[in-house]
Amino acid sequence: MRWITLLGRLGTVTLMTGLALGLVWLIPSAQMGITFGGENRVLPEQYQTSYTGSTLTPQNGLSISIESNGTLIVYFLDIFQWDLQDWARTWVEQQFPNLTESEVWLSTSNMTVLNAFLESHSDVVLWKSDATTELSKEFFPTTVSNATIIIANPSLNYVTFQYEIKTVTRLRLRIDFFSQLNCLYQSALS
Amino acid sequence: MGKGRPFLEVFASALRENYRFPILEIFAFLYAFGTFIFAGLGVLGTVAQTSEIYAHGLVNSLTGMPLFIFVILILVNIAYGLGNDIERGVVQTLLSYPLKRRSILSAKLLSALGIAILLFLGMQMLALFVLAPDIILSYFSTVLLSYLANLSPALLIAGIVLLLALVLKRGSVALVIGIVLYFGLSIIGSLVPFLAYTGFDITKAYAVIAPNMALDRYYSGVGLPFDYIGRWWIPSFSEVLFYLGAAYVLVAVIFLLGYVYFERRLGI
Repeated sequence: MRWITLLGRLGTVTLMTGLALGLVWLIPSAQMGITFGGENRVLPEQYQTSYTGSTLTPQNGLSISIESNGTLIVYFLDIFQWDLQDWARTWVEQQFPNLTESEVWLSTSNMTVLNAFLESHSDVVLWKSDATTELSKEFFPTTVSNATIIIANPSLNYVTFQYEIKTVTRLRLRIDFFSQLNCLYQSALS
Repeated sequence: MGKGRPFLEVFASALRENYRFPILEIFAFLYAFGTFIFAGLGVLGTVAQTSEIYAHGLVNSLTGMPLFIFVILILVNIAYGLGNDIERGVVQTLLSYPLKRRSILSAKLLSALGIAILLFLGMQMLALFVLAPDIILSYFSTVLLSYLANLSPALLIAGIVLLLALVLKRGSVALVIGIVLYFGLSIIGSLVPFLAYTGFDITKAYAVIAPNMALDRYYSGVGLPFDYIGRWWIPSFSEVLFYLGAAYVLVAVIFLLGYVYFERRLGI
């Protein structure tokens, strides 16, 4: 009889916990902080930094939406812009020692430099989009990360794009609670 | 019959008394709701410089309201559960069990404190695992340290309320004093930095009662240039451990006094 009472109480406690989690689940992510954007242009086979500077956490992420007249690739990198610039400059100077100061500066924005950087620093890529003309993405890292958004133009044409970047805050419950449960279930099965 | 069954009888009776339906259910709801609602959402770009600091900040944010609920629950359990038992003479029935007095007190405290801590930490761990699993698994020792530091003032007040309930034999008075102490400590905690600037520095003394202040100061000092810190006391990690240890020694002494009083001095 006591076991039935105990199980009953455990059941009601679980039910109340579930009710609380259900209520939290209904809370949407909120835009808290800065929003910026506008119209911009990327040269053929070049890239540019559209956002850098803040620290992202599992609760504080970035939302980006882009519309363009040509295909673009968007990268979320766990690095600050100036670190990428320093690396790019050094790499270009080593690869092309005969370039002038201004040529080096211009070359650091080439896709080949970005690709070389990503090849040697694959761990900094938090997320990468497919080549696309329209994109809407809300990104939250799983650990504390530095955030830089790179927009790259792999095509041979100029690409003009409208973009909006927002800092967003949320409880990760909406997406991850059930995926965590699934992970636990899968690991228990294996 | 061994001593296990009477112990369980006393424990079960304390559980029935402390967590009558729907008290446990309401507290489970409040813990879960409060934990997730107050999860650290305001650390973008400024405070969280490393994952370790973020882990500590997240634990601090999660413990805010649920810790207050936890304190209320344990104070009510101890003051009313034990104080009223003494006041109404119920404890005489308990003393008729073939158990030593300290075992009876242990059974009562296991129900009043143990279950409350289990519920509190269970909900917190669930929240941490859901909110930031990678960080929590990587910095589990930081998480553990932060919880130890956050829980020690609550346990200290619980110990004082236990002692007061035994000495005064009045649960309600002990409960009121406990709540006043809790708020008093919070107010003093917020005044400590201002007092330090006026020259009346009680930061280190306060850190013995609330070691989370030392831990907070330690993490706030990580990465800062020394000159920038100025007059703030930034402890080293070993100092943090010392203050945490001192806080738990203090808690242990208070509970020990409660045990000694219950065993030897409590005249019923």
